[in-house]
Amino acid sequence: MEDEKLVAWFLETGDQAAFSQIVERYQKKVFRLVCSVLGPFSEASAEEVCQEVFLKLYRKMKLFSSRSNFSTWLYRLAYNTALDWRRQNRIRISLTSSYNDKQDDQADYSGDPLNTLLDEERRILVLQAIEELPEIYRTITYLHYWLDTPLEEVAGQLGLPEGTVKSYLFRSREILRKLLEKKLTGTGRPEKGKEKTQ
Amino acid sequence: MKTDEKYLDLILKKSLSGMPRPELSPDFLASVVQKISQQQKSGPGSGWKTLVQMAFYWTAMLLCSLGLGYATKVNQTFLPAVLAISPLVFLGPALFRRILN
Repeated sequence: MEDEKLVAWFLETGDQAAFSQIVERYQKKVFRLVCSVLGPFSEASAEEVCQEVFLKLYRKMKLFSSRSNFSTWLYRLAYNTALDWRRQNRIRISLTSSYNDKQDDQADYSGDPLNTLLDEERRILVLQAIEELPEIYRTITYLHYWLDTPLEEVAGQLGLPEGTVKSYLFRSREILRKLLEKKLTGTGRPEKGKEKTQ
Repeated sequence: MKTDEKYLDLILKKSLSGMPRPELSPDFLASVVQKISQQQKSGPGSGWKTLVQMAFYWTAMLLCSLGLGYATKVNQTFLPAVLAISPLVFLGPALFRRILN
C-alpha cells in the first residue's frame, strides 16, 4: 500500500497496525538520517531520538497534508528533531576518547602497526574536521561517506535536488581541505607570493 | 598527508567507510508501540488536571491579595495586577513550546 493511503487509513481508523507498518517501512532510513546528524559514537542517543521521531509522528500525523510527499515530510521531522537534540545536548563528542574506546574493542593488530597508527591518527583528524562543518554539510558528508548512502537517496532524505547535494558535498570537501591543512600545518598553506620569496 | 581535492574524496572514503555503523535494535518497533500506549494511558487528562489545579490556586491567591489590598488600604491594585499577569509569565513559554512541538 502507498504511504499516503496508509496514512489516510491510519487517520481514519486509528489502526495501530497501519502505524506499525509505517514505522517498519521507515525505521532504518530515519535511524540513518538521525545518526548522520548526531555523528558517530552516539548509537544509544540515536535510537532514543529515533523513538522520539516516531512518537512525534504519531501525535502529528493529522497535520500531514496529502498534497506533500509523506517521506519528505517524515524526513524533515526526523532531521529537525535530531538537530534540536544535538543543539540541546550541545554535543561536543570527545572523538579521540570515543574512538579509542571503540578501537580497543575492535582492534586488529594483524597489519603493520605503524600504518595502523597513521590510519587511526588520520581518521581522528578527519572526524574532528567534519565536526567543525556547518550542519547540512556535516550531515551530507556522514550520510555519503560513513553510511554509504547514494546521493540520490541523500537528496530524497534531505528534500533537496540531487544537484544541490552534489554541490554541497563539493563545498564540504573544500572546507574540509582547508580545515585539514590548518590542522596539519597549524596556519594553513603558505600564500603563493610568500612561497616564492622563501 | 596530502589534502588536495583529488585525494580528499579518497581520504574521506578510507577514513569513514571503516567506521563502525550503528544498527537499530531488533525490538525498536515494539518499544515505540509500548511508549505510545504508555502516553495514551497517561493521556491528555493529566495535563488538564494540572491546569485546573493551577487555575484554582491562582484564583485563591488573587482573591487573597484583593482582600489583603482592601483590608490594608495599600497597593490595592498593584498586587492583584501582578498576580493576574503572573500565569502568562510562567505558562506562556511552556504553552508556546507545546504549540511548537
